[in-house]
Amino acid sequence: MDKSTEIFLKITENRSRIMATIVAMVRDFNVSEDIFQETVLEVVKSSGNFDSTRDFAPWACAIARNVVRRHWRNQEKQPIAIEQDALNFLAEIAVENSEPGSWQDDQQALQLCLKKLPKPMQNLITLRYGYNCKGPELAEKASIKPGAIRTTLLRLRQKLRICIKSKRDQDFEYGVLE
Amino acid sequence: MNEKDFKRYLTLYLDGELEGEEIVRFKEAVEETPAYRHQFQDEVKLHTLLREVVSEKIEERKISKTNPNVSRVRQPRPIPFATYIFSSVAAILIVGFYVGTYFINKPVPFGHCAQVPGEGAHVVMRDTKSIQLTKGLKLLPSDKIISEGAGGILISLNDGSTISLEKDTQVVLLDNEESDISLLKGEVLLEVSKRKVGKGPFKVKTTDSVLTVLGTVFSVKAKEDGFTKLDVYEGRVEVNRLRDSKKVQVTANQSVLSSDENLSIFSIGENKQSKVMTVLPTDDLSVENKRVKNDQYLKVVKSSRVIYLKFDVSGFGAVKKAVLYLTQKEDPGSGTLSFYLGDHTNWTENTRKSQGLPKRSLLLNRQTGSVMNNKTIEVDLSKGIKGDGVYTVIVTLNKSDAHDIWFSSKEGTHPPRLQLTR
Repeated sequence: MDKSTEIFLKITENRSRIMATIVAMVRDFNVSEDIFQETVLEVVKSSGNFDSTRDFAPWACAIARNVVRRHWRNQEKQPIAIEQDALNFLAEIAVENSEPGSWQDDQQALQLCLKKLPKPMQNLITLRYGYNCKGPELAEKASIKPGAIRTTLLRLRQKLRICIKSKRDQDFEYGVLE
Repeated sequence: MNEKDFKRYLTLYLDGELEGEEIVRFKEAVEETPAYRHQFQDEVKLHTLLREVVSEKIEERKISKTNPNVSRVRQPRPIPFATYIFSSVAAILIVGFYVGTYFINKPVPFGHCAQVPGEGAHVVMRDTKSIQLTKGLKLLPSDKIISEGAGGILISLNDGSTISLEKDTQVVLLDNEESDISLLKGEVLLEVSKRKVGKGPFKVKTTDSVLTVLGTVFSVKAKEDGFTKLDVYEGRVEVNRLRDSKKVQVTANQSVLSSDENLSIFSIGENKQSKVMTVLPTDDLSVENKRVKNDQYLKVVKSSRVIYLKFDVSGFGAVKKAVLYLTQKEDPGSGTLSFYLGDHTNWTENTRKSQGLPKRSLLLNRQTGSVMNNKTIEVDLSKGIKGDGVYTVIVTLNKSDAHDIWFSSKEGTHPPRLQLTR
C-alpha cells in the first residue's frame, strides 16, 4: 500500500476524532466541515513528516488545530489570544485517550438509538444537527418554546448517551423521553 | 463552578455562544474537575457523532428521492382488460413522472475538467464527498475545486469560457445569478466567452469584491493578506467592492488591488513592491455652479468650475515623488492651473451635493500656459503627497469664460494618473 493511500485510510478511520477537534474549537458545523477539508489536504501534504510508528490521531488533530488557528487569522473577527488558547486546550482534551474503535462503535449505536426516539424529538435532532438550526429559529421550526430548547436538547443527549452505553454493554434499554 | 452552571456553560459552548472570559472560566472548570472533563469529552463526542449520523441520513434520503426504487415482486394473476388498460396508463404516468422528476432534479453539468497536471493533489469536493480531479470529469454547480501543490488545472465551461487554476487555489462553481464562480483562495486566469442573449455578464466573487466581466481575458488572485488582485489583459472588468458597493472599471493592461481599505488601479507589471507605481483616482468629479458633475470630463474655469480628485496610495510606503498627469479632451483652454490638497477625503464621486466637498488647504503647485488638444500636462504634487494614505487634490483655474479647460475623467478615455516614486 502506498503512503498516500495509507494516509487516506487513516484519515477515514479517524475522521470523527479530527472533526471533533475542529468542532470543539470552531463550534459551528458548517465552518468545521470546510476546515476539515482543508485539514485533509494539509495532512496529505505533511504525510512525509509522519512517523508511522506513532499514533496517527494526535498528529492529525494537531494539524487540524493549526488549520483552525490559520482560519482565525484570516477572519475579520477572531477570538482574542487568551480565548484561542482556551479553545485550543479544550479541543486537545476533547479527543484525548480515545480509541478510533470506540468512536465507530458509538456511531453505530447512535444510529439505532436515534430510531427509538419519538418522531418530534427525531425532528428536533434533524433540525439541530442535520440543518444546523439554532436558537429561536430551531424553537420555531420544532414548535418548542425558545426557553426550553437547550434543556430539551440537553435531556435528549443524556438519553442518547444512556442508550449508547446500554447498547455498548449489550443491555439495551431505552426510556421514554419526558 | 457548580454542576448547574457547568451544564449551562457546556450547552452555550456547543452552540458557539460562549465567548471571552466565559470560555476561559469554562476551560478552567474542565481542566480542574475530572468529572467535568469526562462530561465535556462525552458531550463533544456525541455532538460530533450526531452531526455525522444525521447528515448522512439526510444525504441518503436525498439520494433515495432522486433514484426511487420502485421494483416490487408480485405473484402473477389474471388481470381484467379494463384494469390492464388503466394500470398501463397509470404506469406510464408514474414512470413519466419519475423520469421527469429525475431529469428536473438532476444537476446539469457546468463544465468539465480539460487538463490536470501530473503532480500535486487535486480534488473536487461535492457535498461531503471528495472526488479526485481527472481529465474529462464533469463538474456540477456547487463543486469546490481544490488545486494543491501544482497549478495548471484547466476547466472548460459549457459556454466556452475557460478557467485556469494556479497552485494552491480553491474555486467554487456557482452558476447562479449572483456570480458564476467564487474564488476562495489562490489565483485563476479566465478567458470569458461572449455570453448568450438573456444571460447576464460573467461574474467572479472574491472575499471582498464581485468582478463583472465585460468580455475579456484576465487573472484574479485572492491574496492571503486580504487583497484581491486583478490583472486585465483584454476587454474590461468592473470591480464592485462588497463592503461599500464601490465600483471601478479596469481596462486592458491595468491591474487593481482591492481590499476593505483600499481600491487602487495601476498598470500591469507594477506592484506595491515596485519603485514606481501609477494610481488612478478612486473618485473624481467637477463642480459647476455648485452642481456636481460626474461624467467623462473634468472641467475647470475661474469661480464656477472646480475639479476634485481622490487618490488612495495606501500600502506604497514613503513617496519620494508624486506626479499628476491630466489629459485634455474636447475643450482646450489656458490660464494658471492651481493644485491644492483638500482638507478631508470623506467624499465620493456619487455625492449629489457640493456642500460637503473638501476645502482647499495646502497649495501644492501651479502651472501656467495653454492646454491644447489631447495634451497631457504633468504636475509635481510631491509637496503634499508624501506617503501612505488617501488624498484629495483640488484643481482650479484663474481665467474664465472661453478659457475653460476640459480634461478626461477616470470614466473617459485618458483617466488622470498619479505616478508615485519611492
